[in-house]
Amino acid sequence: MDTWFSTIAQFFTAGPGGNLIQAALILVGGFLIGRILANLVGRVPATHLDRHMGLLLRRVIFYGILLLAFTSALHQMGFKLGVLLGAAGIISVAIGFASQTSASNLISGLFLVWERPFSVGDTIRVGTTVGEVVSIDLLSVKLRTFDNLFVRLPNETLIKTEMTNLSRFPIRRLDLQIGVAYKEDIKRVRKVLDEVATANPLCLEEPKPQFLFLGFGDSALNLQFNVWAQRENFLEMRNSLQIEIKEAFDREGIEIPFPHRTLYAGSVTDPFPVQVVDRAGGDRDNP
Amino acid sequence: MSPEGGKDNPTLRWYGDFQIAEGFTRVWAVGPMRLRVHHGHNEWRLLREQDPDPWLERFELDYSDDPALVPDGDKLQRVVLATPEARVHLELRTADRSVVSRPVSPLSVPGHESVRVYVSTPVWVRVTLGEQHHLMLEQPSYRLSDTWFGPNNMEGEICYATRSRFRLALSEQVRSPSRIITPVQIRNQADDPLVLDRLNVPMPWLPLYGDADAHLWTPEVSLVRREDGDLAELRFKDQPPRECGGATRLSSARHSGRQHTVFRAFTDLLRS
Repeated sequence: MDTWFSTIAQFFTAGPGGNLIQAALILVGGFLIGRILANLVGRVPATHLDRHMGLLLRRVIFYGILLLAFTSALHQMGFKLGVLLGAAGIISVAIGFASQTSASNLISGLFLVWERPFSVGDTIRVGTTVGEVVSIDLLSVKLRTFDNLFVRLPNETLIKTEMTNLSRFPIRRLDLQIGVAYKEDIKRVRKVLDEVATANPLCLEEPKPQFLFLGFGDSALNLQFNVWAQRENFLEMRNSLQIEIKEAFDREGIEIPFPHRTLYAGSVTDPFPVQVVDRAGGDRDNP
Repeated sequence: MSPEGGKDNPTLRWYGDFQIAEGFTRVWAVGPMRLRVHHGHNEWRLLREQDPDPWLERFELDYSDDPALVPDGDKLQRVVLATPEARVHLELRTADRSVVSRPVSPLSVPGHESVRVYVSTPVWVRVTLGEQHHLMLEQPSYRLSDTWFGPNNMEGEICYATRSRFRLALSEQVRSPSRIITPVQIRNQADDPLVLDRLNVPMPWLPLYGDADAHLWTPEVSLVRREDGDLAELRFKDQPPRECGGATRLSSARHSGRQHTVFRAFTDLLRS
């Protein structure tokens, strides 16, 4: 019995079992320390560390400590790290050829982090997708669209294609396309538009609203009215301003025309003859 | 019924502490703002309405259990409180952002001249409840339009915009119990004229004072344009202006750290 016990004790203290246990302890300890330190970084208030940097720092700390613990554990178990790294080099070349897309995404991710065209929480547009950046990971960027869908964009795509950050600057311009009837006085229309913009508190006074006469359209005089708003108020301003413009036009009798055609009967002065027929009545003009 | 806060001029002093019994509504119609606070059973109902005319001269205070006065509507705010409280506090404060004042017509100050003008801005009303001063509402007496103040569309800050006549005499200035007056001393030490097309008054950094007639004041703001060119400096001290007789401090500045300091104003405060 004693012999059996001493053999087990020797296995766990001086033998290979001891190294295994110590390596496991190092791994578990590294994992726990990594989690604790990453969580501590997560508690830093947003005033000191923005969400993007916080996320990045948490990941670097966690995976950095885990890597250290892993190599220490291997060392503890008697592996020679130099040989392992050499083998890893050969393996990585093989894996690199096999997984070009992943490697490309990985490198693109590093460029994205370095260039920082957007941060977590920003609203971006890539192609036809518009959404809020939820996370920036090694291989992809995750978005939450406004209809609450989860979109994963490979980092390579973001590096290659045009991306618009809608949250970069504090103010945004709204370009309103407006058509008014040919009979309207443009100066009066401009005055009404200016008054509506002035009365809307969300519409910035500076930069000034801009009035553009785009040209003579098929059915309307085409105008453009550019107004600025604070980024956070952009949607609210877009709604309220257009409703107010419609109300003001109705109040002032300014017509927003629908597409129409004018027919001439060979001469501009001769009107079309119009005959009103009572279809429901008894006197039908039957052939 | 006159408010309890009034000591020197009970007609105009509309801020301070007020008792509102259960079932009663108190109404403050001051300038363009109409504020209704109703004390219901375990709840408070608050409604702020605004007249489109920023210069509306109106001063009506009411306290009644008339059910017609009980606020209702989309913009109603309700505060639920289990403990019985009947005392509300109406505190006045300066604007929560800087206010960019534009003259109705451009104002020019010749070289080596100085001028003292008055700028008027709406006061912010903060309604708190009970001993704990639970915040129930904080709103301006008139919601000013937003504006951008900065050297370009990328750098700058969101401010409020107001039009001012930059009156030189206090007697010409429209006095309203819902507006704050800030005296601005402008000195042009350069040779060429200084054209003021907008003036950024850092309201969140200014404390608020009330005089014996219940008029509202901030400290005097001093603006100096130096001999060497375009840059201007703006400074202020934490003390009531000389026009503010019998001043009492109504609230401290929202932000601290800029008092008694001098800083460049070309991009931050003044664009001339």
